[in-house]
Amino acid sequence: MQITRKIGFFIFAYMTCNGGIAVAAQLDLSQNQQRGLDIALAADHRNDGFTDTSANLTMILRNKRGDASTRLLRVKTLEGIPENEEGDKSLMIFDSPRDQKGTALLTYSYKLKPDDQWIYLPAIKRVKRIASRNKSGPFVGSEFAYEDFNAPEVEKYTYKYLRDEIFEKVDCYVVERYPTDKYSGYKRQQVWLGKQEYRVWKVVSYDRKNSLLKTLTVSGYTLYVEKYWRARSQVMVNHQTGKSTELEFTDFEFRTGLKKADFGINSLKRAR
Amino acid sequence: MNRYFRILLLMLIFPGAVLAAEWSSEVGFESRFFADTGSQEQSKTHPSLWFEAEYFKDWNKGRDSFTFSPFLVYDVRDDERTHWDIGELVWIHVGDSWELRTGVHTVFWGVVETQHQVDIINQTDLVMNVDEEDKLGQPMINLSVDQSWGTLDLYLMSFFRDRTFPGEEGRFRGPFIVDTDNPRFESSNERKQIDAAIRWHQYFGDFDIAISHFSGTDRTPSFEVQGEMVGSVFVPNGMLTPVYYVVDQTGLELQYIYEGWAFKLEAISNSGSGYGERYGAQTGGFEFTQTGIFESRIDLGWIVEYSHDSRDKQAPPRVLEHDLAIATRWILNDVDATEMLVGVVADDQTSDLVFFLEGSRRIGEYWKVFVEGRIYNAGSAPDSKLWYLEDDDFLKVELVRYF
Repeated sequence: MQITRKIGFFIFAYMTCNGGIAVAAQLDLSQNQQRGLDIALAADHRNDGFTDTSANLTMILRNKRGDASTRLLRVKTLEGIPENEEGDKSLMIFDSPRDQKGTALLTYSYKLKPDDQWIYLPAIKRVKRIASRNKSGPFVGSEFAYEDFNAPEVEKYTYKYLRDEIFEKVDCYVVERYPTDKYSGYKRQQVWLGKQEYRVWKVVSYDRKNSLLKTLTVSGYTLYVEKYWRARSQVMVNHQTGKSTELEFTDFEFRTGLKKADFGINSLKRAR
Repeated sequence: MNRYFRILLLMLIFPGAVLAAEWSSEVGFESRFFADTGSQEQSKTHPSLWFEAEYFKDWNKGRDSFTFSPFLVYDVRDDERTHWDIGELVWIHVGDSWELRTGVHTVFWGVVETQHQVDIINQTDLVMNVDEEDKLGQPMINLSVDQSWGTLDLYLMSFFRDRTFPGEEGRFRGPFIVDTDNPRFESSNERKQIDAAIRWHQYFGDFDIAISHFSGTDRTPSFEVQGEMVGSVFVPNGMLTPVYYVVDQTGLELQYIYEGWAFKLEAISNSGSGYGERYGAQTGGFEFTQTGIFESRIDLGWIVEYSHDSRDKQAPPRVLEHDLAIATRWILNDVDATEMLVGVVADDQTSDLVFFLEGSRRIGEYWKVFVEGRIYNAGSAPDSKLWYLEDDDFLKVELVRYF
């Protein structure tokens, strides 16, 4: 991690001339790391017990000139059982573009190891395993990478609290997180989290070379079953290409009675 | 021509009718352009038109579903290629960690790319494509049990489907025509023979394993040369009789994913009644994928696979018996889902070479273009297995409209 190493170097430089300052800096750094982690954990706990959800998703891809093309998907998620080291399971099913109809992506996320992913390609009736290292690749030509859709398990990043900031009239914590997976396409991401409900409002991502890559803006939160906030709109802008992708979620449903069997490899083939 | 007319009429009426709710359909306009006239004077251009539909209905909260998927193709040149099939006519019932699939269904087994060794449930619709990846629907009862120890599939099958072959005006056939109307079967029950199969699949982290066994009429026929004795000389009449033997085939599939690598192996052992003795065949290799090459969004995949067949020279001509395949897969990850696969298959003993190309790209919301091409470069006689395809270098352009 370049950043931490750099900070480490500064600390070392300070230490050689002034021991007291070095200790303070170190303390401050670890405090900010702890605070970042605490915020991430608090945000994660807000989502505990959702059991399962399903939603419809419209994905609008826009190029620099503003030409748009649309994809329709359905998304189903089953909450994992934390005691079993099990993350969430999710299924994304394509209704359009028509040549992709019936294509389904199954993800088993884990807290500590890379996710397992399978894709069902109806044209050849084949279920293919996706190598987890391909996670940084674009998802169906959009500005979202596969990893942007993965369940944001707390353990997949290390954290650092940066500052407080008002974003779009919302009082936010700004936390920087560093993916632990070396095949992530990101070096770091800055997340704007509302102080009250720990909802994500903005994510700014930097690529492996530490250049500004993408900004995600989230809006239109609605409260479901009196506990869970879900956003209607997510817009990802790629600063390097000028392209953007908008996700619009509708028809959120909670606790629809989805079972583990609905997220098996068998279920991929009959997902519609 | 009456038959053609009816098929054409169906194609024109059907897409309109199927726009209704649970139907989806696609129409393909395709033409294959050959570099040379066929060795039997077959035409250089082979246009065709196909139609495929799917009706899907589920009830009982998705616990039960019904799928019907008919397919029709009209080929301007080849009568044998003008045909229809039902790929799916299946009722699927989902229980707690099990599924029962009853009816006509299509199933794929396997992990490798260049030659499918273990895939044996469905018959190959060879006349559709020489790559043997088009299949005919197979009537079956399939119980699939999904447990912590893996997925176990049990199959009972009957109403054997004959392999399709090019007709007189068709390409990829050599000097002989397969007499598809008069096949021979080892089983006295002929097509009503009951075939059975079992497959267990499990994955452990990044490692996938499947073991399967098939017992029944082999989907791949052997051939007998038709003809008559004139005096003491056998005079062939240019026809081949397909002969379907009853076999036992055990299959193994392995896959291990490590970072950008996918290592794959498929192996079979077949009792091989038609060839007199048991034989084994394997295809193994890897696919290595580099994501975002040259700081672009392009994924570049490298596929290297080696195939071996213990029948060696006795293996059927289409089989890769000691062949190395090298290919690159380009996935542009663009809005139009542009993909391309380019490669070569080389026989290390006969120097036979096959260059191949497959590409596709979406055009707007409802159209997609596919291109496919092969160049056959026959090696040294007499062992070359490509001599009968030497005039069949082709480029296929296909435009598909989705409804």
